[in-house]
Amino acid sequence: MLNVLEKTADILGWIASTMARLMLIFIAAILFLQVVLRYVFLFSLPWPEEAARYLMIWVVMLAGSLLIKDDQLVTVDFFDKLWPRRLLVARNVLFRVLLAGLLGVLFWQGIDLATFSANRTTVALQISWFWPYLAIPVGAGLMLFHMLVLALRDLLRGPPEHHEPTVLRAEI
Amino acid sequence: VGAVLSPVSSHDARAQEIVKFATVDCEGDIVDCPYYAYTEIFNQVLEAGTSGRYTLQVFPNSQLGDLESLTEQTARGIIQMTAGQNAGQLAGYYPSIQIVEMPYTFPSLEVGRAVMQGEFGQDLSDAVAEASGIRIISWLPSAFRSFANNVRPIKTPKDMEGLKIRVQPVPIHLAMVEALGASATPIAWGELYNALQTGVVDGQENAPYVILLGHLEEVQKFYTLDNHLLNMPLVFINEEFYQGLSEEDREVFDRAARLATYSMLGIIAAKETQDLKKIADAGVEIYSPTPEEFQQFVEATREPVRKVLEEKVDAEWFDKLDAAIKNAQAEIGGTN
Amino acid sequence: MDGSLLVIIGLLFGLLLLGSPVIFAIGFAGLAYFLVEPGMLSMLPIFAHKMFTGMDVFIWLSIPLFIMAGEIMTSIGMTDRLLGFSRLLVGSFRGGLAYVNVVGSMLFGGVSGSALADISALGPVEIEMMKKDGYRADFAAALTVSSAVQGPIIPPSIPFIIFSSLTQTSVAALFLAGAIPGILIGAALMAVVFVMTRLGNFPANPIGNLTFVKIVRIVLEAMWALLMPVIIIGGIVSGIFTATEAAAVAVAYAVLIGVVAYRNLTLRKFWAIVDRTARTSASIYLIVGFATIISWILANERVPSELGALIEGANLPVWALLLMINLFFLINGLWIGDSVQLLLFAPLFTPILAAMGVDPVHFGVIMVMNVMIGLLTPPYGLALYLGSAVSGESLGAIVRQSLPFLLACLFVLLLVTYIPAISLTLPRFFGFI
Ligand code: NA
Ligand code: NA
Repeated sequence: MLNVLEKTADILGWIASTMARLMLIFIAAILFLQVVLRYVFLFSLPWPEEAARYLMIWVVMLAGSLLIKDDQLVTVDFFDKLWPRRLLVARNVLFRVLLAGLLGVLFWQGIDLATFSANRTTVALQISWFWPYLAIPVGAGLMLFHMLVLALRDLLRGPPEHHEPTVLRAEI
Repeated sequence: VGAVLSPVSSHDARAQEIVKFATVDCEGDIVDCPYYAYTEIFNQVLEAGTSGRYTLQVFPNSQLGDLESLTEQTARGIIQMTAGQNAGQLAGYYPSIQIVEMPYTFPSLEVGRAVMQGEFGQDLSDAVAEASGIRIISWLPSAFRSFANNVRPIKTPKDMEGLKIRVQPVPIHLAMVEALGASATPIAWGELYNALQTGVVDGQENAPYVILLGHLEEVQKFYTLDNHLLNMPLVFINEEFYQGLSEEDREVFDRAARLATYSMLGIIAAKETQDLKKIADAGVEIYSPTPEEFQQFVEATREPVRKVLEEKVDAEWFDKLDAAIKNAQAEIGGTN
Repeated sequence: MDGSLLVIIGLLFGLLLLGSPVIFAIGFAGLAYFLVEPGMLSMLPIFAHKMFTGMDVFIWLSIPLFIMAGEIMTSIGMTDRLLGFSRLLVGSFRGGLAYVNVVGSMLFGGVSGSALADISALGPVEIEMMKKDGYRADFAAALTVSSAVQGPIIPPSIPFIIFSSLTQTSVAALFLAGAIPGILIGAALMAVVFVMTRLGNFPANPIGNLTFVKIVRIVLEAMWALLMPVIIIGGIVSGIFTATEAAAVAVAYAVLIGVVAYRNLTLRKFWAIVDRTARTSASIYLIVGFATIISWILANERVPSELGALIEGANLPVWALLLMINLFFLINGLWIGDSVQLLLFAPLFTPILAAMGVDPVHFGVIMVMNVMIGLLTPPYGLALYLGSAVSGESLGAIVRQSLPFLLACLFVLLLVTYIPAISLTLPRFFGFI
């Protein structure tokens, strides 16, 4: 059961990572292209600014799910040594539950946001607002899934020992 | 006007219903903060007319978000009112509203005001409210936008050739600038001053008070009063909230909006000549095109822009607007 | 201030203290407001909406792009070359490697916009070199951590980008304003090192068998990196691109060096860099998103207006107010990370101080210096953690050793606070303010 979930998490992680990377490269490329077009050819495209902004939110929400999957969120570990180990486990479980709650709200509200604005179009790209906003529920959903897999893993296998502070694992 | 102003009350009376009113502009100065006069008058009429059952609470300085966000917050009823919006913000909900952004449409400010405060404005407001959940409670046709640049004086569209002009990435604006032979360049407002100063772009198009707001007169050399667009800030109210008011209260809101609009437009009109003088004093050469030159701008842009607009705007609005302008002109008497 | 605000602040600090991931302490504190404050539950839609609009800012696109440029420069071996060049410049003095550590960060500061990137990119090499040369490891770590602080004050800078879009201040002006204060921090750190060499027994570390050809080679190899800030600032000042676009140009330039000059940037390397960049940016952006919700809540509770009235009522002279604000930021720095401080307090204080005649660009420099120094103060000093992880030394030892450097930074902060010309001269000269 856990193995299947972990396998799924890996596949979802791979997809999220690949998409986020391609989008990020695209953002860098179109913004650079815009400079070249304007400076060399005296010509500007109307949409790169807006496209880059919305794609970046997709990048954030997708890559954000990887931060959860690979346990890369920064925490203040300073006082962790002072905690008895049993209590630390309980604390981590509590945090995972709280986080799941937060992500649940974000998922639900994100869907609401995307559908509420679905028949409104954006200024430059003239696409439905559904697509930019969709990043929020998709990202929150992925995060929630990875969160639950981690929680289940902790429950079944016990939490992994992290000797190093999170800042080392974290991407900051 | 100053004597009738009193600070917006913030005391909490239990039975009092708070109307949240958010802007991206400042508060506290009647000349520099465009919506200060509006909110003061609105609140006074509102409190007096409802015996204090309703009061306005103002959130200035983008505290609650930028224009885009405030529009959505109003649509969802998180706040009740917002000011300083433009028709473009609503185009996503109701594309036909873009008709008011058709360049070289209003022959004069007076005609623009008469049209928007008359039946045409009311009809458009109703249509928007139905589509978006946002009602335009005030149209504030305040000043014309014109082209400014750093390269040469613009007298006819020919002079615009090859200039890089900053525009908002709105299809009509793009079509207009390109029809005039310039290169339409999207630059964020926050980067515009530096972009003009360093030459990333050569020019931009804004109303005098907006130019002063961004201190753009410091980094521009030529300003041609071609009056291509009538800047029309809007005040929105959440439609559900508005329709939920008792008929009496709704009338008070309407009256408050009318009086607030009236006072605010008065201040803006008084400021306009001063604004142009300030811009000239900063060393900007100001040029008013002759009627023949003006006609060249109209000719150059009419077809391309109309083509863009016809894809988005229902045909009936073109006729309604034409008729409304003719009526207003007849009433006011002549152009300009 | 009413009860629900206290709940939020309590939750924020409580969760942080208990060791919750930072992002979620902020997110959860924000969410709690909607549950606790009467009548707010119906406004819950603002939660996802504000998070989105908080992240949807054009200028912030330069954050991932500057991160990517820095990552590429590091991965193609730019850091070793910068250190080699620093060693050529200052290695032959007594205390040579200590100076190299500072100068290396100063040069890297022109490439990277993040202090933590400095520590992870330069730190391991610097500390190893210094240990070999007989320096105490905790001292080496402390100096590495302290010198990293100047990176984001010297342009390009992620904190300045964040400050700029929150306060409608020009990024270009802020970048220029940070240059001299950043260099001053480096100079102050070197002054401390100089005093220490008189007291302690620091060795010199010149490059052996220095021939003319070798010098030319070192300079040429470092030249590519040294040109990066010239291109960024030069391009902005001369109107080729805006400050945001500068970041995209920096990426293109880094790729160009990697592919054409050093020929060691492979597709595989690049693919890994993009992944790291996406994750790092996500971590910053998510904080931005959740902190925007808190800002909205503060505004909804009318905290900005009330704070403004409070400060106006206190009728303090500007110098006293600036002193108090510095202290406020420094104390916050013990608990709150740099971007969170910027997001919460930059929009709050900038208009108030602007009304009292403090130039927003000047205030931006003051604020960014404060939050950078906050990276050096425990318990929530991320630079300390990273320094400890990179060096293997205990946090306590690094904190003790970094005290003189911390004092030097604070001294420069005072100078910059009370002599506006230090920050404002450059942007004025180029006409940006
Ligand atoms: Na930097
Ligand atoms: Na260093």
